[in-house]
Amino acid sequence: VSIDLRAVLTSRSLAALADGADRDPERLHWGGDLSVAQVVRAQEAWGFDSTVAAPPLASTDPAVVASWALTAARRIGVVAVHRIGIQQPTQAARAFATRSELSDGRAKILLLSDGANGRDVADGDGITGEARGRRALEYAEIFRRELDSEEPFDFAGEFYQVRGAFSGIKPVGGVAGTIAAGGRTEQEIELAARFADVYALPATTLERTGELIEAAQRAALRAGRRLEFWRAGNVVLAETDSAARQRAERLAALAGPAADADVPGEADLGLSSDDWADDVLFQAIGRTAGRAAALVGSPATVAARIAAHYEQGVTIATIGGIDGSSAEQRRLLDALLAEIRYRVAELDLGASAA
Amino acid sequence: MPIELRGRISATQANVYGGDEISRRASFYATLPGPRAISAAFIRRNARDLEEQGFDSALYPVNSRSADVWSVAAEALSATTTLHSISAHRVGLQSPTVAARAFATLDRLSGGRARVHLILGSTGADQERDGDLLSKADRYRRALEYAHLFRLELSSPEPFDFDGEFYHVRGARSDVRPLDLAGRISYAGVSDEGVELAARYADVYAVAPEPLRETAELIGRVRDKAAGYGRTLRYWRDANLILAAEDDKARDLAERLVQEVRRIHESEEITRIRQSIASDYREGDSKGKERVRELSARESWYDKTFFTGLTALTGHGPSIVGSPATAAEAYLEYYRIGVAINTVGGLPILGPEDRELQDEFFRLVRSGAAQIDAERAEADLSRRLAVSAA
Repeated sequence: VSIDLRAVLTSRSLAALADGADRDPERLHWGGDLSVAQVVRAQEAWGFDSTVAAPPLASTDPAVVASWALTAARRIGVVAVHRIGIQQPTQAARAFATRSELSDGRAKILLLSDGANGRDVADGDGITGEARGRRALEYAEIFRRELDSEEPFDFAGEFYQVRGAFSGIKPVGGVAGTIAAGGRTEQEIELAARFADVYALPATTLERTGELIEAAQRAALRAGRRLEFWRAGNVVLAETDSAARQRAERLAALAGPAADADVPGEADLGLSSDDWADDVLFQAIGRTAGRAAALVGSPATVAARIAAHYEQGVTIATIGGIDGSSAEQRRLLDALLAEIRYRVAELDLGASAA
Repeated sequence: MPIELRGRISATQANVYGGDEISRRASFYATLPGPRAISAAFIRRNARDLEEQGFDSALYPVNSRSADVWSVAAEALSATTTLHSISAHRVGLQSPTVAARAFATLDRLSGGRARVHLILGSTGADQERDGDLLSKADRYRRALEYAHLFRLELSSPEPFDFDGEFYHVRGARSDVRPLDLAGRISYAGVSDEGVELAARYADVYAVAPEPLRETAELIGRVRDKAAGYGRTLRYWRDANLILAAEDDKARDLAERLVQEVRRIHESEEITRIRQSIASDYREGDSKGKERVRELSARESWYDKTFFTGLTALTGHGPSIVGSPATAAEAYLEYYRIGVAINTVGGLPILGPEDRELQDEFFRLVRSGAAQIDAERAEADLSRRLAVSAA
């Protein structure tokens, strides 16, 4: 086992693709003035294993951004976030398989079943409430069959009917390990357990993370499957823990109020109304800026926390919010990634010795 | 605007049947869809070759078994610097606002080199594989709404609502726009519904690959309809070209290609594959395809350069056949009646002679078109001078 360290492909360059970018300068906070190709190449050079093309920024299409990023890099994996319900699942699956084939297996996908801020009605998706969950299950099933099935197949469900569906294009190395899904409702956990390979966890406390992992793995075992776990989240780094805390408080103040509040319910995440949880998890940054909570500290402190999550079963960790444009931040990032890999290797050795 | 020469881009290396020259040439026409491996390296080389050969743009055609258009286009565009990429996009399988943003994202990433060709999907079976069970009449009405929303998403300065028969959106708005929407969207369709859609929402109309007279009539029809909406379209004709040093040799090559494709298709394995895919292949249910099929059923040759002999056999549209000079003149005839974008398909470069023929053809077409433009400008100027003198 080793750990997949994942960057976030949101950058000024994505916002700059939009005419309206100027209206929302705080969105330009991270990433520097680089093109998508430059950002992904930099992330590859910094030692990330993968990067995630997230949707909310400036309404760019995550799948197209992912395609473009894959053409620009050689080694790094690219996860496209894909909203369920705005495309036929067979077509979306072939698009994903195409990215995989063209990138020699570096494409991954995160299926999102929850609505996001009225974007769904803006895109003509009127399915709400309970029905969304049922539809998501059908969607994920067809999506996976299109990628798995060696024969044309039919499907007749409540939301989708296909006849003779078949894709000659398949993900390189098979579907296993490529599809992630998240969410904390029963239906979302069922979807991940039955049709995904990776369960996407929010940025939350050790305790809550452990509970979510257990619930999802139990559901997967019932379906005769096993899941991997991916933890989302940002980091704020400085030389010392106290300097990092100061930096985090300053960033939260700079970021201002949430513009695009995609932050899920905090109670649900086990987060309190305090700004800090578990010493190093800073929640205020999420609350004010619409971003995931951040792990804050020196590289050693943050690495220790990620290693603790690794012990819980997290094998993919997003290291978001990194501004690699200054030499100091680059150095801290190098130290963080090296420290995480060292600790993970140590844990693996310990496990194999035991 | 100068003439645009368009190629076709492929995601897969064509299968080649047999090693001799005619087999290799015929392989283009006999190519069968199927699970051949797509390759980034192949797309990139293909796109660079087209750019280097002097093509302005390249179309990537699709059906329900094809690789994803946006990914293939991203690969082609990231490998080139001037080539435009036309992604054929099947209407109705994705929310139109989402598809519009995908297109706009690609256009921005490529510095304004993305184009989109909206298509209805060539057969019902093809659509059913992707869960689209609407009848053809319904698909036409849906396409009108789709094209309307696609365009509105990319042009509306304000969030908008829409309530149609097929789509309902609330507060739609995109931050990401193509560098310029003009000239970006094309459509084909000779039925009344198709012409209506193109006149209202497309910038480029793809004419059916028919002889000159029929093409002129069709352009006239679309032009009138578009004028009714205060719009002017450009016209695109998709055809193959069979070139040789002399006219007789080119005609002979065309006939030999027919025989060779027939021979390839007679092999047992290919007969089996062709039977299983016949519905995609030669029976596309559009009116344009029907008209070309009728044309090819009547005659193989129209006015010495227009060849339909491969159509029934392969599902490919007609070819222009001749020496570079003859072929260039045939293309320019279409340019004169308003076809500004011409696909030059089916020209394999197997050796230096092919390349010389193609270069010669490109040179003659471009200089001929420039001359036509100059004559038009001059005529226009004299007319205006005459008006002001009077």
